[in-house]
Amino acid sequence: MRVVAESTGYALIASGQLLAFIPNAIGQALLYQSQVK
Amino acid sequence: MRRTMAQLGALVLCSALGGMAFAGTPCSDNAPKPVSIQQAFATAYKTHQRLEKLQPEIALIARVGQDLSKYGLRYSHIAFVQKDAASGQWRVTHLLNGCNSNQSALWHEGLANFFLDDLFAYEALLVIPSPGLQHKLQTLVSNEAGIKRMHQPLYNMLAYPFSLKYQNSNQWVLELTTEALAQQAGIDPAITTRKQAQQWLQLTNYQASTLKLGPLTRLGARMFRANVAFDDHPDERRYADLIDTVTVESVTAYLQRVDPSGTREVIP
Repeated sequence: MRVVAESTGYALIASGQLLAFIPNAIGQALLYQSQVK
Repeated sequence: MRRTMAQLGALVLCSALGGMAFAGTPCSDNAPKPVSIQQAFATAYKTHQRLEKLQPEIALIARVGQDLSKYGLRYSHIAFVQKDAASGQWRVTHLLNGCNSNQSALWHEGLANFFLDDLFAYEALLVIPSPGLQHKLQTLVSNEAGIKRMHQPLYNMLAYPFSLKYQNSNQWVLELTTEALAQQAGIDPAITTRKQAQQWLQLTNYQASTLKLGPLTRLGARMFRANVAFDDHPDERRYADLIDTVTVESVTAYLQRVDPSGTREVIP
C-alpha cells in the first residue's frame, strides 16, 4: 500500500486502487456543517 | 481488508460530517466511495482557490447532483457561497431536503460538504452577481431571520414556481435573490414575503424550466418519492404533462437577463 499526498489530504492506494482518502488540515478546513435554527 | 480500509476512509469522513442531508442528489444508505470523497475535496479546493482570487462579497454556486441531460439540464442544485469572517473559509448556505422526507432545512456548510453528496459529475458553476447585487445579497443571506422568512419547510423537488405550498432548493435561492433584486431596484414597499417574490418574478417574466413528465412517471414519483408532489401545479399544465419548476438553468438565465453585468464560469 502506498500513501500519496494531495493538496487536501492523503490517498491510500493499493494495487492501483484508491482505498481511502483522509483529509489533511487544508481538507478539514473545507468541512463545516451547521443548521440554521 | 480492502473493503475494511475503504469503509474506514468513508467512516473517518462520515464521522466528521455528522447527519447528512441532500438536495439535488439521489439519497443512498451506502457510505460514499473513497474516489468520490477524493474528487469532492479536489473540486472544493479548486473552487476555494478560484473564490480566493475573485473575492466576491457573495456568489451563487451550483453542482451536478444527478444526470439531468434527458431534461436538457446540467446542474441540479444551487446555493449561496460567501466567506466566513471568523474562519476565513468559504461557506455555502443552502436548502437541503431531509433524505426520504418532504421536509427541508437551511444549512451552512463547507465547500467539501457541498460536493460530498455522491455527485454525478465533479464540477461547479460559479455565478458572480454585479457588485451592487452582491452587496444586497450578502446583507440578506447573512441575516438568519431574513433567510428563514423566505423558507417553506415543505419540500417538493418539482415545486411549482408560483405556488406557496412547497419549495425546492433552487426556488429558495431564486426567491431570496428576488428580494435583493427588488431592493436594488428601489421597489417600495420592499419584497419581504414569498408571495411578493413570486409576484415580482411573474412581473419580470421569470421563465421556469418545463419538464415533460407523463402520467405514469408522475404516478410513480408520487407513490415512491416522499419529496415529489404535483398538487401545487395548475391542472391544465399537469394534465398536459408539462411540469414547470425552478431549476439552476432557469435561475441563471433569469439572472443573466436582470443582472447582465454579473458573470458566470464553470470550474471543471
